[in-house]
Amino acid sequence: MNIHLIQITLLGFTLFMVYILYLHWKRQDITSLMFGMWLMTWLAFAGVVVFPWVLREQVNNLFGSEVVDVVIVVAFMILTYVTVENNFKMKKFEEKMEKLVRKLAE
Amino acid sequence: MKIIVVVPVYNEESRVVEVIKKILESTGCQIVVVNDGSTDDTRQVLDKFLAKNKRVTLLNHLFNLGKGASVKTGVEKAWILGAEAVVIIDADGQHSPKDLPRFEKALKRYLIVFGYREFDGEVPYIRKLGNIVATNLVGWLWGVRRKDLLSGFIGFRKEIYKQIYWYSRRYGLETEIATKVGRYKIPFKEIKIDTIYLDKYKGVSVVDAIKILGQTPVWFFEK
Repeated sequence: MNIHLIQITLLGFTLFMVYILYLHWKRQDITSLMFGMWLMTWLAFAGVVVFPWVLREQVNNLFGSEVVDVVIVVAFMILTYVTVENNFKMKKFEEKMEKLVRKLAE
Repeated sequence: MKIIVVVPVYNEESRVVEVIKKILESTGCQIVVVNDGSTDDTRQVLDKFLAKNKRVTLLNHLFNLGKGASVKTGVEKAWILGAEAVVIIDADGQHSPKDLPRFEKALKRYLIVFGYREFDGEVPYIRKLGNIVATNLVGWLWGVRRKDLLSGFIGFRKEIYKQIYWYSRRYGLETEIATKVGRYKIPFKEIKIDTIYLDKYKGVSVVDAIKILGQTPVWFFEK
């Protein structure tokens, strides 16, 4: 089995993210259910990275591309969505904070 | 016309009292001071100085929101106090209160009055250049030909508040007001004011300036 550098990098990143998740779970920032769900997601990601041939034929038929390429494109789309959502939520939060601080200023 | 002077303050423990004293000497107007969550002794200094002063209303933000937000707090308080117009003046000593009577006079004829500086003296070159670029760019794009876009010494009447209403919480206030003056073609007056430059490291950074200029299309076109 040939292991490419990008697979090693992605696997390292996955382990890092699982560690971050674990820290948040320990600090009780997330529930055990949320931790479990995210862990499953990252393990599935790691599986696709380590065993790309499992999905190679289907991905090639659907996208005409390599598995890792598709994973990266999908990840980029998810990241864009999350960034945009966070931006809107932050704006709303800032507006509420401003109104509250103004009310308390008197 | 009832005019109220609005003074946003942030961490000016050594200058704010002097500025307010000069304002009190220069004009008979009421004053609203907004302490924008200062972390130094600004609040203590103001509480002590203003303890018996009935002409000055002091408001204190729980934490720092930015100049745009604190000016809005002051202006909205001014409307509650019955003001028909406001003049905004900085608390760091960069605006001379002796120019206030000229703003008061101009506001009787004009809906909005801007102070402009001629950048003589020891103003850093990058600040001069930034101001020139911003003033010309906003003027060319949005049809508001000003001499000094970034001057925060501004007076305006209540009747145009809804048109120039700003959303900028921090340093985009002056640019947003100017852009909306261009949008609604509000006639304005410019008054020459002294160029007093005290803090080299305060104010808008290059990154802030780019972000502010990038928002001008939104301010111009939104309703």
